[in-house]
Amino acid sequence: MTTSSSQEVTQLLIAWREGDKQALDRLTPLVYGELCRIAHRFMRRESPDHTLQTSALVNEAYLRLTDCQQVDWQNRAHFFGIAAQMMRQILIDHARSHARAKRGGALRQVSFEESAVISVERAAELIALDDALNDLAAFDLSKSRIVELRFFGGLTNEEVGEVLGMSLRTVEREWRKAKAWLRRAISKGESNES
Amino acid sequence: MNPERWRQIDQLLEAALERQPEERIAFLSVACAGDESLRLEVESLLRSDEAAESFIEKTVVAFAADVIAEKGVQALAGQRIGHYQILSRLGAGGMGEVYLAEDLKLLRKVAIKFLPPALMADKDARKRLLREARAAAALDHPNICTIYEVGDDARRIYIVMQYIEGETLAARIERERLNSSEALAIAIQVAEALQEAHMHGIIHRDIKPQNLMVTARGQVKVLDFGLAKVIHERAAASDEADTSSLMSMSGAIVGTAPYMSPEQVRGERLDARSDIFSFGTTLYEIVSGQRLFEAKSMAEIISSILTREAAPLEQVGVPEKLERIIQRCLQKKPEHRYQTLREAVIDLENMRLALASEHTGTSSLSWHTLPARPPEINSLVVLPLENLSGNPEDEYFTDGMHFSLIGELAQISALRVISRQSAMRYKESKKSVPEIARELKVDWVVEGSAYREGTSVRIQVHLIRALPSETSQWMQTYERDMPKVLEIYSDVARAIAREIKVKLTPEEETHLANARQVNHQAYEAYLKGMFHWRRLTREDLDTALAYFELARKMDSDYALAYSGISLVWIGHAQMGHMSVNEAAPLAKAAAIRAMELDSTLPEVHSSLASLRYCVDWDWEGAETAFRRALELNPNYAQARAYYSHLLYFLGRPEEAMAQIDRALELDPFNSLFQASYAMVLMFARRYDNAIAQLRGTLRTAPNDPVALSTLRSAYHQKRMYEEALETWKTSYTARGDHDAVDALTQGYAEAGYSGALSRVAEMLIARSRSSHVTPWQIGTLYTRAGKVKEALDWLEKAYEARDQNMPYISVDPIFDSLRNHPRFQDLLRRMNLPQL
Repeated sequence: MTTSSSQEVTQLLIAWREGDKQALDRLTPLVYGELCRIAHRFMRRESPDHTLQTSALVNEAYLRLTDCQQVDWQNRAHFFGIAAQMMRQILIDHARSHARAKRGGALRQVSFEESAVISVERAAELIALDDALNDLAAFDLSKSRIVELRFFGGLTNEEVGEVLGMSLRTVEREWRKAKAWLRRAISKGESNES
Repeated sequence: MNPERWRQIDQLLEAALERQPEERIAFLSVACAGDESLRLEVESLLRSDEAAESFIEKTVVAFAADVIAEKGVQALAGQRIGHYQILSRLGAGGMGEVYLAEDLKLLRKVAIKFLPPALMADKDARKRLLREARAAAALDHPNICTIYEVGDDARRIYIVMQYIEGETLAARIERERLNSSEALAIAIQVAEALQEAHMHGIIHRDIKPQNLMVTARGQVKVLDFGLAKVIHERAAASDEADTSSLMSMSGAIVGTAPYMSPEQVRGERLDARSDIFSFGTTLYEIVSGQRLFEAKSMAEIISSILTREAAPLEQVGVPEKLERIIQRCLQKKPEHRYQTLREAVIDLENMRLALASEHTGTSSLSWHTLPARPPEINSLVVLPLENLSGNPEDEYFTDGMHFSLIGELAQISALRVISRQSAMRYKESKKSVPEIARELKVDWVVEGSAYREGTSVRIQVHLIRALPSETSQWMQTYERDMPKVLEIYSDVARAIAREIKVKLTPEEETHLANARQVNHQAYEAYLKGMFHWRRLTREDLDTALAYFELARKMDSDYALAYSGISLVWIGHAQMGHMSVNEAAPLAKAAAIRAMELDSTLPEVHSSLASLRYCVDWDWEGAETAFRRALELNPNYAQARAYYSHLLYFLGRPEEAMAQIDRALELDPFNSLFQASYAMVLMFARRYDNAIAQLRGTLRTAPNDPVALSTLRSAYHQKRMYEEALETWKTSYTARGDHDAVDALTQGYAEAGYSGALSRVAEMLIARSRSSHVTPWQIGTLYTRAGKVKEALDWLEKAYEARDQNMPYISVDPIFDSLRNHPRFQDLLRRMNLPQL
């Protein structure tokens, strides 16, 4: 499928990789819009089996937005990176707005129906995870990207490996260590141990 | 962290993980020899790894998709959905995003709620939600946010509803603590809204301050009927399916939990009583300003709901009576709570009335110290005004001015003013002023004429001293613009008081001096409504209602419009167009609204009093309201007539007689009051006097149903069975019930008087299977037929149906044969009526 917009996205991905900072600004709303459309379609599926197709969201966005023949694996990696980062950002914003409501007065103003389903505890955990992930990125960027792609982007280990150019075994090992570090960071309630 | 150090840690961690768990410690102590902090660091990460099995394993992408999809909806402002133009986002709350929109067809503002997109995923949930929302859309009640439309455009479900300008009750109580009368007003409205829904089989399931809107005028609107169920189910499912991956999982019901009923927390099947519990928690919060079940965690909240009793409210200044009402809602077991909110409404209203009279000082003014009739009283009749405009269309207006003028003068306590109905007898009468005065036993006669052109009104008033001979005392013409028409009445009233030298109390003086401006269109609509209301036919009452609604539209704070609406429902019930159970809540809601807007309208107090005693069996509350009505208008014949019966029920026959006497003085030609007087004579066992009075009444009103039914009772008591039977036949014939007449005739031929009555009762029982027959009717027939068991069975049914006649069992002599029966005494006890 080659459309003007898929051409545009492909060009933007290339431009961005080549150092054009503005390319990302133009890319973001396009990716976001596509994610929205796909997300809506997800919601309408007859059975709520989101979990079975976790990577479909980003994959579909990618397929729909880019001209596959022109895009090499590096573009794909960038695209997935952008999408996962975007989803992380959206979720964390969402969680933060809930946490703000919580500070407004105990449990008072928080009710799940205010927006997508999220509990106060859950919101706090997501925020803690986000903080810990930022700390991790400061000294181990590759681990933080694995977590971002897997946890927020919904990619499988194989896909993560493909995107980051790692073997499956490496992804598995790195993922396990990242988890151990993040979990400890969160349970201590402090992520900076140095 | 130092990247070099981290590389070291990372490598050691990886190496340790590759070994068998039991070998790791030994490996590390060797590998980290000399670097204790390195060993501790890696060991701690190993421990974390062991516990991290499921940690963040499950991706949040589906949840992110939910959020993204929802954010997509947020970008709606400016779009058009169907014939709705989305204007702006009002906020999030009550299960979805809410937008302000304009209905381009009806050109009104609406609120549109877009439900969480997650709902679209589940076909069943979507179907159920649409079904529930459509059921809720059928609810039509002033305290329920009206749903105009439920839409489903494949991308989202949306609900179009009334746009309410106001704040949530949650925000309201956050701002300041409500005083008790505000709190009661809100509580009653919420309870009435819920009661309405419950009567339609709809349970709210999520009553809490966040779901209650309060407008600037204090009107409450309950939001989101029918949505809670589906959303909760869906939320619980998605909470489990999508977001259970982090370390802990908690219920999705955080915001709602503190208001849930014990059975709801346990996940049991719910009925209306669950809402009653949630109403109780909300009420607790309203009056105390404190959340009832406040706790740090879900688990704590749930355990409080199941086991903890509510903290006493006394120390925060909540009256004991109100606390009892709240406690009754908050019983852990549904069967210990109020079973319907109707009961709670009654209790709350009694509280409010008690508060209102405390504030207006009524209770300090003891009724019993007021003489029933001051000796030096002046009496007066205002004859119907002549319509000078020549336009028959203006008849209602002249009629209305007559009515208003009487109403104004009637407020002067030193004056006896003949009621409108008796005065109307002299419309276009050829009788002389002294004749009229003699018939009505009045000293003074007022005649007059009215003329209207455009918005200008002219009225001429002539005061005549009738006795000992006709003398013109004073004459005056008044002219006003419509908005100031009320000034005319108070000017006339003050002038007449001056001319006939009656003393006005300071209160009356102020009241007459403060004629309010009126929205003249609303006032005209009101007068038209009253014109139709007085005819009491079904069609006229419907027309009257339309006019009162119109008046209300023109001036939404117009107390008289609400008073009129209340009178319409009472009229429908009185005339048997609808059941009391249907009419009473409507009448009451309107009366209460009227009272909120203007607590000085005697009609409203009288309506409330009647509703209290006929429908609620609340003797105390009814008496307070009657007294207030009579304080505001001492010449209020109808209030006196009804009050007299109440006094008899309460075992105060002398006071009862004084009231009905006075009612008849004020409205001597009213057949209903004449019959009511005869009833009081019956209660006093003065059968001969009653028969004489009723025969007189029936001469002018041969088909008066109350007179006929009282007369047959009187004959029955005198054992004049043939006369009684004839009277039965007359009343059934008047009603067009030929089956009953046949049953009487046949039954009498076969088994005499009591056989005839039993036969009618049997016929009515058969009829009751296909159409509405009041159990009261059947019960009284069996009572007189001497069939004790049947009589008691049917009276019990009448009791259960809260038949408005039930209070009469305490005084009506026909029940004397049952009085010693324990079941009968039990009935009296349950109705809180004294034994004779």
